[in-house]
Amino acid sequence: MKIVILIPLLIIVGIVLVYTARHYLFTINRLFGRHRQPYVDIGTATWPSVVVFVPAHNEERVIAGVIEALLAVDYPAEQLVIMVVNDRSTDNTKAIVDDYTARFPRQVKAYHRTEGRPGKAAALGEACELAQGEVHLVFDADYLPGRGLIKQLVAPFFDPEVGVVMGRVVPLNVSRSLLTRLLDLERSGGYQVDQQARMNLGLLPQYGGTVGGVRRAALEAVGGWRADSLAEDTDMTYRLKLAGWEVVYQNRSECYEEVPENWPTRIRQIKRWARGHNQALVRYAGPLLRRPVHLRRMVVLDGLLLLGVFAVGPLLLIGWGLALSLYYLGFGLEESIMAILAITAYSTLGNFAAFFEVATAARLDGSRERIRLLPFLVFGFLVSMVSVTTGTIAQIVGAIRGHDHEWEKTERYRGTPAEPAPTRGAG
Amino acid sequence: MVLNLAHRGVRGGVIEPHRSMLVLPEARRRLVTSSILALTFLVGVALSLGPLGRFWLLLVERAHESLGFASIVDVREFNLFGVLSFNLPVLGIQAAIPDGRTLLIATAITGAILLVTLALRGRLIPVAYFLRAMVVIQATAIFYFAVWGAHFPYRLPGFFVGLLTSGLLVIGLVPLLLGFTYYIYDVTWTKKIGLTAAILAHLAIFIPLQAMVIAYLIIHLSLVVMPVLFLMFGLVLDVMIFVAFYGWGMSWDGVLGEERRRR
Repeated sequence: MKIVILIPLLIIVGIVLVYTARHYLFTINRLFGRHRQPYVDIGTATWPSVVVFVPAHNEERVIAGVIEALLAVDYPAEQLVIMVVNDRSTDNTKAIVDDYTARFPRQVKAYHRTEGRPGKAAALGEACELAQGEVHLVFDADYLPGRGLIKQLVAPFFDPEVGVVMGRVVPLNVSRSLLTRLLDLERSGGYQVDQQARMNLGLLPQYGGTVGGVRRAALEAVGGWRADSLAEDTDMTYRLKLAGWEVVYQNRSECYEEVPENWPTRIRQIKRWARGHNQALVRYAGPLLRRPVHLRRMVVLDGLLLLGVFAVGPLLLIGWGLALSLYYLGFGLEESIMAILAITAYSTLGNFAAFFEVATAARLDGSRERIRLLPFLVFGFLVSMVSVTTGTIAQIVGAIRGHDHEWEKTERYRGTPAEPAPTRGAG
Repeated sequence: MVLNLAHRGVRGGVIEPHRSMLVLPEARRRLVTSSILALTFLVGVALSLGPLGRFWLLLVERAHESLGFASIVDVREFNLFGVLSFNLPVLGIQAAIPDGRTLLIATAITGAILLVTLALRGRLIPVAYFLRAMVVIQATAIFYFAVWGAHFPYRLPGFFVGLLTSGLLVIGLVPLLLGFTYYIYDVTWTKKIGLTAAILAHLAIFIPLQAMVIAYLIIHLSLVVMPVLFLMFGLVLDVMIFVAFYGWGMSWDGVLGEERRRR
C-alpha cells in the first residue's frame, strides 16, 4: 500500500523538480545570459500595412482610452487601421466606438458583432476576414499603448521567418490593492525573466493574445483563429511554431494593462486561463511529441512544460494528499518526515525558484521595495492552485456532460475607487 | 573611457540602460565567489551543530519550566556522516490520544472555522483558502483518530525531535539557497554576510521555540492537532521566514545602483 502511494508521489516530486530547475535556469540566463532581440528601434523603413484589432465586450470604461492611445502612435497613418471588434456589447461601447469611426473614418473601423459564438477567438476570426493589412496586431481594450509601440511590435516582422510577436505587459493599477501588487510581481517574473529567457535560449516564448500580433500570411497559412479555442493566444503560439514560424518576444515593447483588483475576478481569470491552457495541452502535446523536424528537442521539451504549467496546480494538490496518506500510514517517523519534506520541498523550496524568479525580475525592474511582499505570494499561489484545480475539474466534468464553455469577461476598474466591493464569494 | 562617454547625456548625466536590457556583469566571478561564500557558511553551520544543540537544550529547558511541563528533558545524540556528532533535546512527555469527547469538540471547532471561511469575502479570500486548507487537514486527522486512533504511529518525543532535525535541515539549506539566489547579486559582502547571519540567528532561536509551542498545543489539545500543526506550522513556516528575509535582502540596493547614482 505504502509503495503504491510513494511511487506516484515521487513522480509528482520529480515533475515539480523539473519545473523548479526550469525556473532557476531561466533566471540565471536572464541575469547572465546573452540577450537575443528581434529587430527593434527601426526608425526609417517601408512600413507594412497594419490592422490593430481591439476586441471589446462591454468596455465602455476603457475603450476610448485605447483608441486615443492608438490614434497618437507614430506609425505612418496611411498604413495603420484601428479595428474595434465590438463583440455583443450591451453597454455604451457601441456608441463610443461609432463616435470615433465618424470622427476618424479612415483610421478607425468598427465591426459590430451581434450574434455567433462568444469569445475573443471567434470575434477575431470573423473580423480578420474583413480586414486587410500585412500585420495584424491585437490589443485588449484596457491597454494603453505608448507612442512608439506599434513600430516596435512591427519591426520584428522584417525578419521573414517571424510569424508572431509578443511585447511585455506591465500593470497600470499596481497601487490599488495587495492583489494588484502581487500580480505586478507575478507579471514581472513572467515577462522580464521567463519570456526573455525563453527568447534568449531559442525556446518558445508565448504569444499572450495582446500587445503583439501575427503576420497575416502566417495566420492564413495555419487556417486563421480557431473559433473554438478557449485561449486563442496559446493556441496560435503552438500552431505557428509547429508550422515552422518563429515566435519572438520583445522585452523592450512595454504596454500598460489593468490587472484584476479583487480576488473573485482574479479567480475567474485563472480558471479561464487554466481551461484554455488545458485545451491547448490536449491539442498540441501529441503533435509536439511527434517532433516536426524543424523543432529542436529542447524546444519540444519547453513547449511541453509550458503546456503543462496549469497542470502543476492539481498535481501539487494530489501530491499533498499522497504525502498526508503516507503520514497517516505510519511510514516510520524519519521516512514520513522525508515524505513530508519531499512534498514541502516542492511546494515551498520548489516554489522558492519562483520566488527567486519574481524577486530577480522586480529587482531588474527597479521595484526593489515591492520585493518585500514576496512572502505574500504564497497566498496567491494557494488561490491559484485551488482555482486551477477546480477550473480543471469543472472542465473535465463539462466535457463529459457535453456542456459548452461559457465565456467570462474580466472586470474593468478604470475610474472606480480602489478596492471595490466584491460581487461574489470565493466560489 | 570611450565606453563611459558613450553612456553620457548631453548635460553630463548618465544614460541608464533600459530595464529590459539590464544584466549582471562578470558571471563567472560571481558564481565562483558565491559558491565559496555558500560553502564557507555551510561548513560554519556544520561546525556549529554542537554548540547549537547545547543552545537548543538550554532554550528547551527554560521553556519547559516556564510552560509547566511535568516531565524531564533528555538528549539524543546524532551523528552527521560519521564525522560530526551533536545532541538534540528530547521531551520526555507523552500526549494523549483523543477520546470521543475531544473528537466531538474538534469536529465542532473545525466546522465552525469552515463556516467562518464561508463568510470571508473580498480581500480576505486568501485567508479563507488558508483556513480551508487547515480544515481539510484537520478533518482527515479527526477521521483517522475516530477510526484508527490507537494505531496513530507518532508520539510526541519522536515528533519533537523530528521537528528539530527538519529545522536543522532548513538551517543547513540557507547558505546553499542564498549562494545560488542572493550572493550572485551586486550587494556588498557586508550585506550578504549580514543577511545570512540574521536568517541563521533567527531560525536558531525560532525553531526550538516553535517546537515547544507545537508541543504545548499537542499536550493540551491531544494528538489530533499534530498533523495540522506539523504540515502548516512546521517546515512551511520556517521556509516562509526564510522567504521573508530573502525578500528583505533583495530589496537592498546593489553596488551597481549606488555607483550609477554617484556618477
